Amino acid sequence: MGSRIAFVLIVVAILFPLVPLVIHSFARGYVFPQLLPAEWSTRAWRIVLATDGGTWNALRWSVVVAVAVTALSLLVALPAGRALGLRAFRGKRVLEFLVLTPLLVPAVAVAIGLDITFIRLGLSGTFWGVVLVHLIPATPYAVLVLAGVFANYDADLEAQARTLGASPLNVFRHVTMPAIKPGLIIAGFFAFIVSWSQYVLTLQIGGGKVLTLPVLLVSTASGGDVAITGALTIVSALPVVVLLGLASRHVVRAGLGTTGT
Amino acid sequence: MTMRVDLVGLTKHFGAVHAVEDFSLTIQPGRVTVLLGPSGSGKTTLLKMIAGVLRPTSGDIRFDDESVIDLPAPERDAPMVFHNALLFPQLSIEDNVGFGLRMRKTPPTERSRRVAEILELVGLHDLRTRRPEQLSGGQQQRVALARALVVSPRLLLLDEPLANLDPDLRGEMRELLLTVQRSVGLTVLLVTHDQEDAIVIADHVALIRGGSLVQEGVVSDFFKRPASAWVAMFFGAGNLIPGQRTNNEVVTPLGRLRVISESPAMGAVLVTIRPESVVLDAVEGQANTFQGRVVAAEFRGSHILMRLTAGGIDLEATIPVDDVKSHAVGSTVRVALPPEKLWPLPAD
Amino acid sequence: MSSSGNHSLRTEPRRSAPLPIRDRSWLKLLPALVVIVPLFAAALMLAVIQSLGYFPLVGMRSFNLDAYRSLLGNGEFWQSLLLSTRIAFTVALLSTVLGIAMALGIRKIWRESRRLGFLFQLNLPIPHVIGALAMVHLLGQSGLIARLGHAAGVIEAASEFPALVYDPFALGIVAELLWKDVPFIAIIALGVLGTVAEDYESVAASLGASSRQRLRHVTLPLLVPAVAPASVIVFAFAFGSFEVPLLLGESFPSALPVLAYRLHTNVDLSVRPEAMALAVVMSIVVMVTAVLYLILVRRVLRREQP
Repeated sequence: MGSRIAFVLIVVAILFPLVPLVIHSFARGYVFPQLLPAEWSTRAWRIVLATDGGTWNALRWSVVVAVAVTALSLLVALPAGRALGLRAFRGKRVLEFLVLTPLLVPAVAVAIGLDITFIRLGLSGTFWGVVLVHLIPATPYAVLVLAGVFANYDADLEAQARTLGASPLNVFRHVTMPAIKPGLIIAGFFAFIVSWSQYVLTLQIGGGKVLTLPVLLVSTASGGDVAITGALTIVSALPVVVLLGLASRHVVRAGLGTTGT
Repeated sequence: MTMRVDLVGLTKHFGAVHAVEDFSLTIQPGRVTVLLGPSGSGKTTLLKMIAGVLRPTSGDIRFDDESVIDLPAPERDAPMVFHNALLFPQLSIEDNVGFGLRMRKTPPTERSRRVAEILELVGLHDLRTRRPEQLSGGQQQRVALARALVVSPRLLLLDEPLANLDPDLRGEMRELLLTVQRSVGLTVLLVTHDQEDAIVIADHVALIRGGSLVQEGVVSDFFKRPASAWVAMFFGAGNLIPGQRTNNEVVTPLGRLRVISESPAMGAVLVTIRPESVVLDAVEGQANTFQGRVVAAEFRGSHILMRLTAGGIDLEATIPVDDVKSHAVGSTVRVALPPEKLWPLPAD
Repeated sequence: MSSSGNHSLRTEPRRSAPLPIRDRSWLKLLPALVVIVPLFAAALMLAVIQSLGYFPLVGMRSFNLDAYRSLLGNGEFWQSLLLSTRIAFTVALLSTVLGIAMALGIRKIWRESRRLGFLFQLNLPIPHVIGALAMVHLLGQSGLIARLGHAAGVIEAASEFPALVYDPFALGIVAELLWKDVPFIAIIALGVLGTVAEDYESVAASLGASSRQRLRHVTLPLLVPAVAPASVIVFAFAFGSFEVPLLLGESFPSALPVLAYRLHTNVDLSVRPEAMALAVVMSIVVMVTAVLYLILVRRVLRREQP
């Protein structure tokens, strides 16, 4: 019983902060002290969803960058996670910490450090430049999740398949992949979220040319039209929440896989 | 120290899953009772209910005639030992073993004395300051056992304690368990799927399947008088001969067999006989003889398993290792089934 | 006698001996290192170099500590450092405590229903930018809570509502970070609680441990290895968060990342090395804190004595 009450309270606490923005997006002149809007309106939504508006452009940027970041980070994280998680070796804990470091260091610091150099290299204001910097915080998450997956993985299965004559590629496709698929989905999910949420890295390295949703959102918010801000917020949040639903269908109890601490 | 445990009509439902159904059993004081059954038969669920970790859907559990159904686990004095030792990772071996005493607020001096004693008993006193991860599986299991014994429990609950051990270690652990149990007269309930555990250490065996009690008794009962074909198969009876039984005769594809058995099964039956009891090279005048053909001979270490066929029925017989030469594959052999070794089961 | 059907599988705990450095596993780490090291290390190294005065763009070519001297002499730096550190510690501490409490509170439901489990993770993917904006309109003086206060008759004008955002106590910032991080820690804790913890707790209970004793001696120690790294991440994140203080914080003193950005985008280029120095200082602070914290945790775990 107590569990149920706690549950309801927590879910409310999680959803509640988003309520004001949602209401704002459907309201007109929704100023203090109105609790419910005196005037409902779809103006903000019409503006935000307008085909010639900046929203779709920003959405496209966000998606394309995030997909690229996800693909690349998984590619790189797979062997790394395997190496880290499969067996115990000396210095493993140190390596784990090193892998974590890009996550710990403030993104601003990275942005500041790389800024001039990226300008020099012609990466500033480009798609690839932004993808590269996004990889810095995204890859460690993927590595850690996959390391957690491989910590529970029995490599003997692969050895067995190979003694039965399977080529390394087939072993990977038919033995390894099915076993790690849920972990791969979660790792990809995290990488996607990290890229999707990035602000200061995109702001700095994107140089005003790579306009992802977070960048658009902040500049819209400073514009003062709360209804539009609210609508744009929902547009920015919805895709990742949907992705969460899809990802959690594959693996229920998600969470950073701890590498056999 | 010796305590009797009565399980009365225990039932546990997890939603639609009936893990345990109307299970009743008496666990005799001072004896080792083995709860034997295949994986998923509900035996661990039963154990957890007795320990107090799981609440039964219905039924009662009595310790020396007192119901403990509402008694919380910490007060039942029935420690559990799992198949993975589950030693607390942040505590040393000594502290692990002393855990239960510490929870009972036993004074530190008495606690260290008892811990030292029990560690000596299981032969691990030298490792007392180590951490669990530094010990082998077998050593960890001994520590887990020590941890349970040091609190001088009324009942010891073991869940597949030998499953993770190498075969040679298993023998050692069984010996240790028996030694300890006998010296203290502890009531022990051991849950396992390995019938060898039952054979070696059980005073009493209860066979569970699908959450229900199938048969109980001493080990030999399961071999000589299995209650059903399933029980017979579980204990490795390789021979099941279908037939129709009237009184002392069963009409089977092998002919009319004479049967001397207390089994009440009549009419459509499956007659079982242990491979060890099948006689090859039967002499004249023996009852229940027929011709069979040797299909295979398999070396099993201590004996040879002969696979025969006769009248469309597959049979198994065991012979001593040196006898194999006389029964080549493909040859015919005169088989006899002693009437007193036949046990008819209801054909379910 | 052959034993029936199931052969007992021997599954020994997998503890292989530590492998020598020459093992090929290291090679597999290379791709990740290739990505992380050049980019990340380069970022840091560049920041260090530029902070030491090597900044050709502005004509600085000497190596000196001027930038650091100037930074450390900057009063705003110290105030921002204090602010960011305070925020980070508060968030890390509170999210750990509340996160574990939340996990313990919803354990049973988490075990029972998958769909309900999804609801708890709902705000996990939501970007901090959105969270910050949401908090502005929830906790701000004309936000939803304030309006509820008005409807309840507690306040009359918006200005009567306490300043929860853009406030010196950084309440709004802490609130947003907690909103995201408490479920984060909770889910990590639930990962342990839902799997490993149960059996240990059963054993402890059967040995005589009451529920409070189990919590203290079994459950919490089991949670530490998983939750500790997570709380370090929370700390680092809270310390280095840019967009949350940007949208919810006072302009003076700003949080350290905001200050760094301001220095970096300053029209006066000679200030840039200071921005670099600040980037370096921030990184060092976070790393040192993380290392110290993890060492401390390990030591505390080792020393659990009766």
